Amino acid sequence: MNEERLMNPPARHPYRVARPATIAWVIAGRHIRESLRNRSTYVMGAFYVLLPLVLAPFTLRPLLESGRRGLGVEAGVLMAVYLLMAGLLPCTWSVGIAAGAFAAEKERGSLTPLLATPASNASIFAGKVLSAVLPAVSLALISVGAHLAEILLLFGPRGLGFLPAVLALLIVALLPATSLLGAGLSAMISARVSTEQAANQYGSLILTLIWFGLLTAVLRVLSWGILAFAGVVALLFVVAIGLVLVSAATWRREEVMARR
Amino acid sequence: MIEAEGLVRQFGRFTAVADMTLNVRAGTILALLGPNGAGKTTTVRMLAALLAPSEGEARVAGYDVRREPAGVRASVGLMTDVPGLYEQMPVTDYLNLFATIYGMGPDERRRRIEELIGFFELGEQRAQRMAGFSKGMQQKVALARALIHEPPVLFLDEPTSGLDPLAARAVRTLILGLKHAQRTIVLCTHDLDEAERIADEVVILRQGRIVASGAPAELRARALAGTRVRIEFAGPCPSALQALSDLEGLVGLRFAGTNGRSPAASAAPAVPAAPSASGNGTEASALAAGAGANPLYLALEYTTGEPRAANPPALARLIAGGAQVVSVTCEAPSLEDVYARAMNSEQEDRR
Repeated sequence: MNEERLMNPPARHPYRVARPATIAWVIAGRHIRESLRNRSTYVMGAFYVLLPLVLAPFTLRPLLESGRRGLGVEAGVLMAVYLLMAGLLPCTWSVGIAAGAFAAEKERGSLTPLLATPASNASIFAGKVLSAVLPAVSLALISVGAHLAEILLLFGPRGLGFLPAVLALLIVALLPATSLLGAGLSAMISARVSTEQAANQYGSLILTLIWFGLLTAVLRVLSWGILAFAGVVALLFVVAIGLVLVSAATWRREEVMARR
Repeated sequence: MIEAEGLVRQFGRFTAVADMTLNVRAGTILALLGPNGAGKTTTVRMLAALLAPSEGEARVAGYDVRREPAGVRASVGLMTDVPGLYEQMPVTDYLNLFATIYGMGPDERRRRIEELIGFFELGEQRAQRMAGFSKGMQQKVALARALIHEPPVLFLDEPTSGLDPLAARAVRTLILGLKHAQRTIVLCTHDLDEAERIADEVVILRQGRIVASGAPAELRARALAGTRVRIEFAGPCPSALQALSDLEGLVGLRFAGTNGRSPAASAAPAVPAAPSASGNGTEASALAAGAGANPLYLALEYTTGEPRAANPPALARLIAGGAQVVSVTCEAPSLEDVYARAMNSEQEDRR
């Protein structure tokens, strides 16, 4: 132990503050590790992955075994809806995590020490959003993979062939966009409300809007066409990235500290 | 090390801090004293560049809190009134996270964490999650976090609040151990005893304004211009007050024995009831005897600027009057007296 150093601090701070990307990664990593240590994370994750797996055979099997005409399109849309459900359910997790990012930590008193560091406002905000998006998207991809594997196992390559590949890819692309949009909005609100309860209530509102918007888009894909759906996905990406960038650039720790 | 000039912080219409001017030299421990809502935490948050001042200027460790907030934050360590730990993390991971943010390299982080774990005697708990830690243990980790980057300025917001007396004493000892010529420590506290024991300088805040400041000894001397003298008698001595009433240089002369009543009630009968001139002798004696038995008359207090000059004639008069003096105690005013005086003037202002 070198007590001399403890007793004899330098006159000015001797360290160069870490790069913003490093800080964002460290903040996100802390949240993710903490989530992984929590048993409820696994319970919730299992629920999100298993629910579409359990439900899908009940509607897909009678349809695919009916052998009636026009089966392909109908099965394709149904599979797309299940694929969306398999991916989107875990993505909604990001809204919940982001809702607690600022408000809950402020209530627990653990936010102030972080805000007292020289980390930039943008890196703190980005870290909080990343901590919500990364686990949610990872779980969503696991869930989508499990869902596709289930269709392949139950109905073979022919069954999986009913799902239009482009639509499936667009749905997979939709997941990070949705997660980013939900987490960005939720974190933005969480940084501006006083309590975790208020943050969660606004988070639920965001979730409802995302769910209805995306389900409507997928169900209307037949009439809109695949290109229009691709446009929706692209627009969502642009809006989500724009929102996070603007929020990260404009958020000030002062907003959290000044709220009494 | 800390210079603040006319700092003001408003939250809407509410003024939390008004016209705060401070100058704290390197190596000083400054105690900010005041009741809840006096503006202590807001002051610290402005000086730690967590809150921007509404008006005024401040420089901390050479950095301007408005224009160079990142420099200020890199130079200060902040320990909040609640430990605010990430309780699911082990101690070393937690300290490592903050060390990384402050830009310390891997070897430097390891070295520093080992130093702090040794200094705060956290070796046995280093790999444990902090969720089950006692409040005292959590405060130690919070203090270690505040020190991880070797800050020249340390802000401690009620570091012993909620701790049992032994844990509080341990934290106070640690704080004193951190005192050094190059480190400035600002301590917010309600605990007057703590401030008196630790601080080199004291600032008393009331409704966001400084009402008293200086070294504790200087404040004490300024608050009560004199020494409080307490004289205790072997038995009740109701005539003592009258015996000294015309003696010059005695201020606040009053009986101060304990009678089991509240202090306010005890202080009330400053002049003993005189025997009734119109009543008969038996009745008057009974009144005097009743008053004489009152334990309030077992002690007398006054304040004097010249105890060496005032005490001998006072004692001579008392003894000549038949008082059996058991003890004479001379007390210099405490920081509590200074604080009470500052707060009492607040109540007078309200009236």
